[in-house]
Amino acid sequence: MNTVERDIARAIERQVENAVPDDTDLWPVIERRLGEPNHAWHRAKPIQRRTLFIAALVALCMVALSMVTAVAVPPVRAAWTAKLTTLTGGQQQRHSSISSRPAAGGGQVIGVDPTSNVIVLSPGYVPEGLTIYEVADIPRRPPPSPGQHVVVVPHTAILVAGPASSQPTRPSDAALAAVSSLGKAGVDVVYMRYSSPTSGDYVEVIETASWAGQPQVEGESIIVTGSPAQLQESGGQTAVKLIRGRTVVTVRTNLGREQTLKVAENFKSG
Amino acid sequence: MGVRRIFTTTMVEATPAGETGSSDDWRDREAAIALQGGDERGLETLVRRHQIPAIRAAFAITGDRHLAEDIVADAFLNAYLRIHQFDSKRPFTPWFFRIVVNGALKAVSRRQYVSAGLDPASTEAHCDPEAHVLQRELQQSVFDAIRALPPKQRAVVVLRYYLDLDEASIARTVGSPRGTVKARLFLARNRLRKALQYAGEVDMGNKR
Repeated sequence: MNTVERDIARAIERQVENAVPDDTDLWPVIERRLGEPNHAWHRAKPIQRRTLFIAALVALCMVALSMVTAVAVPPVRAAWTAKLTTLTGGQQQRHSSISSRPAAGGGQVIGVDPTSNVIVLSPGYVPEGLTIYEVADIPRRPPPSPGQHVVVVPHTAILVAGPASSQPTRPSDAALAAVSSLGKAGVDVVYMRYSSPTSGDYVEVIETASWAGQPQVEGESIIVTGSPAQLQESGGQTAVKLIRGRTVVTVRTNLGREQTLKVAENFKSG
Repeated sequence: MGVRRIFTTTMVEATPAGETGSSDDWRDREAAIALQGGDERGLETLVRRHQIPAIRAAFAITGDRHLAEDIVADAFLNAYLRIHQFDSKRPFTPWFFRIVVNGALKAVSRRQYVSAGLDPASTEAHCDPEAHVLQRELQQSVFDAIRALPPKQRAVVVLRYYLDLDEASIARTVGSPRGTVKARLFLARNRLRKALQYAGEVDMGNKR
């Protein structure tokens, strides 16, 4: 502080100290006012305001969430449906991200269930960017025809292909209905066969949308580790339920046995 | 001068983490936390600790002791009602004095204290009229100049030269940008400097 500032400070200080003596005490006044009848109301008011504010905020968040769900999700689903519908048309390619890539022997879309996003492909018909897995069985249905293919489209789609070495075979209506009902339940269902470590078993994989916090990408496959012997005991058909974000799965066999198995971390393209 | 020293310690801003602070800060925080828990004894502690400097600051802005007391009583009650907004990791004093200063400025504008300043009668009560005549004349000149300041300039002058706050703390207290505070201080200081030079040329000359 320079001289002027010191003078200002001293002048203010001297003046206010003279005007307001040190023995001034406001507490009795404040205490009396705290005891006034309407004080409790005053005290409650901010709490009520806060409660109302929080309630309004929560309500706003819920409205926003429902709007996002209503507005954002359907277009995404519609986009997928559009892709699949494009494939339904078979040879019409209106969507560039999934283009037709006829495999050896030629292929085509032979059926579609838009509701469940199941597309039945002819043998060897591989839309570009998708991976075709070997067979799938539809649970609790007659055994699959060897050579059937399943194309896994993450999150939404299930594509079922016909046998590779025979004429295109459409899965039974009951099978499609089963897939459809699961699809409607909001579960991404992939029916696929895995070759390791127990060849010849079939697994039902539920919840394919994410794995250990990472979203599943196109073409990912699932490797179940565990005792091959135990799996072989299952008699050839095993249901594996993948729990989102966990590395442990429960394997349910068609004999009613359940096994908890650790699923390999390398949930990579097969 | 004792009050001034209290403020130079209590108005020190804590670090962001709130790790440091004077023992006064800690006492304030403990009292504020008690008050947040519904213990009115916390309020009593805070009143006892801050009432005098708060009334004096309000008085310096309004120039009316009774009004200043009302403002400070209201400020304590407001602080009590809004105590849940107080961040106990930070010092209580700047938060509370923001309420006081805003209350004083509101009161000044409401009552249109255009020429609000200090009431000479109230300031004479404890003065020795025969001693320090020159200083009193000088002080009177300063107060005449303060009286002529716009309320917002008066507030920053009080915060700076009575409560000894730095510009950043003043900005937080009055809720204005630091540049605005700087400008107000600059303008106020110029006016006060002129008043001092005019009234105490000889005295000032001797000091310099």
